[in-house]
Amino acid sequence: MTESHLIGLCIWIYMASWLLYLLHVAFRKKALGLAGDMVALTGAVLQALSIGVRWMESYRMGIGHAPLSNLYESMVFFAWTIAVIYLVFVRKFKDRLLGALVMPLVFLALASTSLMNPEIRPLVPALQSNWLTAHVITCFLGYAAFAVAFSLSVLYLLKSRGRGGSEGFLQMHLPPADLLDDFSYRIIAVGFPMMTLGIITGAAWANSAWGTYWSWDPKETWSLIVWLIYAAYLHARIARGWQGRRAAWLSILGFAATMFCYLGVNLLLSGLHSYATG
Amino acid sequence: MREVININTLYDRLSSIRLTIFLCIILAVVSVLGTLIPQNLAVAQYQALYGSRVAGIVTALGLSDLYHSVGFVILLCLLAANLVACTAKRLPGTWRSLRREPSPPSDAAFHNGKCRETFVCSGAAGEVESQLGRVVAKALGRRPREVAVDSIHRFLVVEKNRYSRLGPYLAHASILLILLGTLWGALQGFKGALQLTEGETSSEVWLQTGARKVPLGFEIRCDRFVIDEYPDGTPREYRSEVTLFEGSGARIMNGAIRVNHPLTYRGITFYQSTYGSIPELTLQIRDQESSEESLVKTELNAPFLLPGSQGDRAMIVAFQPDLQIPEEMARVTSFPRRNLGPAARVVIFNEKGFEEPFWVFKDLPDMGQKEERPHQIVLKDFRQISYTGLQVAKDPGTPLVWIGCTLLVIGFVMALLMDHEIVWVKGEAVGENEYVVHMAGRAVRHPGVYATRFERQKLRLERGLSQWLNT
Repeated sequence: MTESHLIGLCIWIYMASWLLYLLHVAFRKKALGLAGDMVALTGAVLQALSIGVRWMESYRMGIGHAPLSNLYESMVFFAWTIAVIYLVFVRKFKDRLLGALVMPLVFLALASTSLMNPEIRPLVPALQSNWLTAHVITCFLGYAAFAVAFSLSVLYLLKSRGRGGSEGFLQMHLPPADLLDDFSYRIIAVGFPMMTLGIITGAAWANSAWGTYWSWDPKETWSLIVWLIYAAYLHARIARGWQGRRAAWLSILGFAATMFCYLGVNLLLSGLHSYATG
Repeated sequence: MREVININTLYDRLSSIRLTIFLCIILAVVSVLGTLIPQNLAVAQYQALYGSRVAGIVTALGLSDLYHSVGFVILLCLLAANLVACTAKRLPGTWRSLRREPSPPSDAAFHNGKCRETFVCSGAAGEVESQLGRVVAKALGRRPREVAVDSIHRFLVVEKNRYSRLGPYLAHASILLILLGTLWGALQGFKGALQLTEGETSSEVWLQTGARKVPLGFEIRCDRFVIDEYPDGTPREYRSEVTLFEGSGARIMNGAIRVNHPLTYRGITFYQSTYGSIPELTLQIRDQESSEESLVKTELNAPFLLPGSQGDRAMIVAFQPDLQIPEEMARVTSFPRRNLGPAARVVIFNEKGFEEPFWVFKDLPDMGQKEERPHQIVLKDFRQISYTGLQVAKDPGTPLVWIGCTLLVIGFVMALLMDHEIVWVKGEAVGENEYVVHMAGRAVRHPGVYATRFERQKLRLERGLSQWLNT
């Protein structure tokens, strides 16, 4: 099976998982939630295979490199890391309602790759570095953690808003608000050091490629902006008046900044990172 | 009296976490501005983008070099001050509590606490009591410390990761270290660029900011510049093979500079940045008086003496490999066609002044010549010489920044992934044949996560005491 076949299959699998989670929310049947887990796990395994296939294919073409070098490859990896982090979360905390909000992110991310150029291309000199793998993996683990935390924060805001009435459905079916808050903190407590490592490895790479570890390039600056927002979030937990809803909004703002950092900078602004598109 | 209160309030505000949140958000918002407004452009470029009024505001407010502007630096200083104040306020108390040995919890913890268990052991009470330390060590993975409280009970405690509570302080100190490193580099370092053609030597570097040259203290010569391509034409590798010399001419070392593989010497680092080519022109100069001809090889903007003259010099100020003229001009003038081929723009001058520049054409040697000129200049040939573009940087603060980054990661691991855990075991003999063992544990930062770990610790202690427990 070629890589594009596998990716196409995974898109449908993730969508099926999402539908199962939605049904799980609607009918509160544990079996539906477990089915959603199984389907998502299948998707993640198949996707891992497709990443491996692409990696091997690049070596067969004589331009071997880890599939992390352009927008298509990074988006495929991003979808996969969100799925993996979500599955680890479900295994530890057993909260499958989150799946209804996280699976669409995975599905959308992977589906968007069908609009991108999937060609395997050789690495230009600036990308030929071991720092590439470390930098991309740590950054995207951070991004994926922030994506899951975003979903948790949205659920938190929904839960802590209404106290019955038309919100009764949500109130009955979502986990307790303080649990959602605690989960999002734990996930960001993993994502934030990952993101920090991502910035540090990026700076080390920039130092060896461009002569300076920081040049206020829009991509670098936006990664710092994301870092600052999540630093504010971590401190909001122990600051008077900033817990709960305000912290959840910071998490949502942080994810919006993360998406702009990942996609907006490459597609809307220009700079040293612009060759990462395409 | 008033002065003292003001200083105290200032210190309180400076050491508040809300100020940290506020500063982080403000810095983030301000940084966004610098990504939307292009940085470090010339004034004319801002005027072209925004019109002269807005361009004036942009430059006046320092938005054109936002990250080095006074306002931004002040924000960073405030953040540093906030870090120092927060640490000064909280570290002494944390340190004192870390240095104190924990005291046994109250009875409530053993009977009503969240993570607790009681084991009733039947058998020789003396035997259980003497084995208790060993059993606890096996179950909890660490030898316990004994705390004497009274003669009836035995109190044992196993503690893990006590000093992980210093994690946040380490993380914050390392951020200060990173800021110091960047400051040192900004003050004592430089960033510049150097272009060398094959065979060219240089001992100076053009600074990135402004038109100033900085001496290297040694010389660097580009011996060879190599470009390697993939089959489809995209560059695979470009590298410059260089030799370094002392000012006296003594050879220091050879080296190769590739992208991602810079060369460092005496604190100065050379990076492969870019490459390109410049034209080298061959001119035939004919002295009209003596009919002597000579060949001159020159580059752009490099004046050369016209042979046989009294101090007249010439310079090529422009070159086009294929000069094209607009349609209208071709019709009006005597040019035979629109594509005129390789063309060089010559200007002749001496200390009295400059003459009018004129074009000479390789394919049309008679065009542009004037009879009355003492020298006839003909463009014979040209070739493109490749040059290598190197970035040159000196940043003494870099090691400090990397140390700061390492400590930051360690600080994170301590603060976010480790937890200070304290497990107490209380044993008391109830008569000769019964010994009761109470167990109570807690974790300082994440009691919820600890609950799962406690279940495992409970099971292991149960296994250790199994020989005395009735199922």
